[in-house]
Amino acid sequence: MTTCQCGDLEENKEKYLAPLKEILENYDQKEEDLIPVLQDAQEEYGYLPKVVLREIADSLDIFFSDVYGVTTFYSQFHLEPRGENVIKVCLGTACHVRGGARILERLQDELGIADGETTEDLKFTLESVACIGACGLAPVMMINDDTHGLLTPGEVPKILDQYNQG
Amino acid sequence: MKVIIDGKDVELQEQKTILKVAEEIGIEIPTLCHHDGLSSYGSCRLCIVEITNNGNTEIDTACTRSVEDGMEIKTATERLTEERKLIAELLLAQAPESEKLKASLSKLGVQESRFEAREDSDCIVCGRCVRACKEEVGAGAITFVGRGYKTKVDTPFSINSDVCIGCTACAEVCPTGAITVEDEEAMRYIRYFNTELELAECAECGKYINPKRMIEKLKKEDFAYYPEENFELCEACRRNKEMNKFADKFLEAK
Amino acid sequence: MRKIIHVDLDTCMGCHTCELECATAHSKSKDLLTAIQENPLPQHRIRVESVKGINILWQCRHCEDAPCETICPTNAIGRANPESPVVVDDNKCLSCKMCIQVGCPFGVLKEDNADGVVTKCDFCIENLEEGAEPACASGCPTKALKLVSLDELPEDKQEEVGKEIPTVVYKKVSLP
Repeated sequence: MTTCQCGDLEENKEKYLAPLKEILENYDQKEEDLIPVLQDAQEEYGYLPKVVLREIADSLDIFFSDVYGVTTFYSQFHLEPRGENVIKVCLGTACHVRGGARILERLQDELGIADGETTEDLKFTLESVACIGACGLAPVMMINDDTHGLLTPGEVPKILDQYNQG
Repeated sequence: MKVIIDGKDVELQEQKTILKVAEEIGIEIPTLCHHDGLSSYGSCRLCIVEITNNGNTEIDTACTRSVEDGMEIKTATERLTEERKLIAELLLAQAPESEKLKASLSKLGVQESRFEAREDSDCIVCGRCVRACKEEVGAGAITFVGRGYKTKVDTPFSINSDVCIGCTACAEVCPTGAITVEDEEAMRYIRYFNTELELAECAECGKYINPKRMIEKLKKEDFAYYPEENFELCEACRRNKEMNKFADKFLEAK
Repeated sequence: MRKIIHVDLDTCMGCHTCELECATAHSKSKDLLTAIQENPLPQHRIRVESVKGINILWQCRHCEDAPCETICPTNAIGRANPESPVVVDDNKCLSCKMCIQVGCPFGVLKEDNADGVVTKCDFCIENLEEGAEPACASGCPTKALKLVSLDELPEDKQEEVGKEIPTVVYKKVSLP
C-alpha cells in the first residue's frame, strides 16, 4: 500500500518540506527572492504543490495569493505533477506547414491525453510549443533534451517506446 | 511648476497626477480602474490624455502620470475620443453582459462592442478588488491568476479563501458588478471567489452580524478607546447599550 | 476658537425636527418639501430616542482618536486638522463597512442609501466655514441644540468635552 507523500497530511508535512527548508536557507527570505525560490523548489519537487507554495509564502512573509499569482503568471511553473518525460511538440509556422498538428494528434491518441496534460502513470507530459528553433527539421518535437525531427505520425509509437522502457 | 490643461494655466506646488490636477480644476476625465482610496494602477486605459512637452506629443494615462513643469495637456481631443471608444469596446468585450459597465461606458457613447466577447466573463481585470483586498484591507485573499487575455481574478486554487474577512470591499469597488455578496442565515457567500464565511451573532439580540474572521481581525487593531464587549454587538445594540449608559449617567448627575 | 454643539436634554422635547433638518441639509435640493420626494430619500445623521424617559440625541461624537478613523483602511475617515470635525471622503471610501459594522462603539455610522459609502454627521462643515450653525442646531425649535464656544461653558463641563461618556452631548470643532 502506498501512503500519501504529498505533504497534505500533517504527519508527512515536516519530512516533505525538509528539502524546501534547505533551499530557503540559501536565500535572505525577502520578497524579491520569490522567483529563484520557486525555481529551486520546482527543481526539487518536480512541480509546485500547494503546501510548498504556502511554506514559501510564510517564510518570505508575502501573501499566499501573491505566490500563487506569480506561479500562474510564468509558464515555467507547474502546479500539477509533471511526467518523467516532457514532450514538446512544435506547432510553429514551419512545423505547421509540414504537419505538426498531425504529430500532436498522434501523440494524443497514443498517450490518451490532451495537450498540456500528463499521463496517469506520470510517464509523459504533452505540451505544444510555438517554435523550438529547429525549423529545418520540421515537423519536430523534443522529448526532454532529445530532438526528434523530420517526423511522420507513424514514427511516433516507436519513439515513445524508447522512453517507456526503464 | 506650471502646466496647461485644456488651455487653462495651472500653477502647482507639489507633485500630483494629471488626473488629480484635472479634477481639481473641474475637468472630468473618464476612468474605470481609478479609485481615490486605492493606489494608481492604469489598467483600464480610459483616462488617456495627450501630453506635449519639449515639442514631443505623447499619449499616456492621467491616473499614473505625474505633472511635470511645462507640460501642455489635452484631455478631450478628437483623437482621444476615438481611442477611448476603441478601449471601451475592448473592455466591453471582456464583460459583455455587465449592465453596470454599460452604464459607465454610455458616457463615451459605447453600448456594444465589435470585438468577440470573452466567454463566461464579467471581469475587465481592472484590479480594483485585488488592490482593495491586498493593499487596503490587508487580507490578500485574491490575486490575478494567469496571464494575458486569460487573466482572471480568483483565490489561490479557486477554493474557499481562509484569509478573506468578508468585508465585501471587493464587491463594492467592482466596476462591472461581477462580484456579489449574499448573506444567508449564518453564512456570508462570496460565490465569485468560491468563498464562504461564518457570521457571528450579536451577543444581545442574536441577529447575524459580521463574519467572525472580521471581528477577530478588528480586535487586534490598536484602538485608543473601544469597549471590548461592543465588538460582539450589532450596531443597534451597541447604540442602545451606550444610550442606556448615557441615560443612567445623566439621571445620576441630576 | 473651539466650538461645540451643546445639547440641553431638559429642553429637548423629542420633536425630531433636528432629524428632518439634518436630512434636508444633506439632500440634493436642500429644501424640505422637495427633499421628501427625492429618490433615494436623504438620510439624517442625528437621531432622537427616548430612553428611560429622557430624549437622547445621538450622533457622531467626533471622538479624539476616533476608532472609525483608526479602522479605515484608506484614510477616508479623518480630520483636516486636529480640531476640525471627523468627516468621510466619499471618493476614498471603499464601502468595506468595517467602521459601521465594528468600528464605531456608539453605532452612529450608516451606509449611504445611494452609493453604499459611509455617512455620518459632518458637523455641516460647509455651514461652519461660513460661521453658521449646523442644521440640527439652527433648526431646533426649543434651542436645545446650540453651537457655543468652549469657554462659554462652565469649567466642570469644559473638562467633560471629548470624554468617553459625557453627561451632556458635546461635539467639538474649531472655527477659522
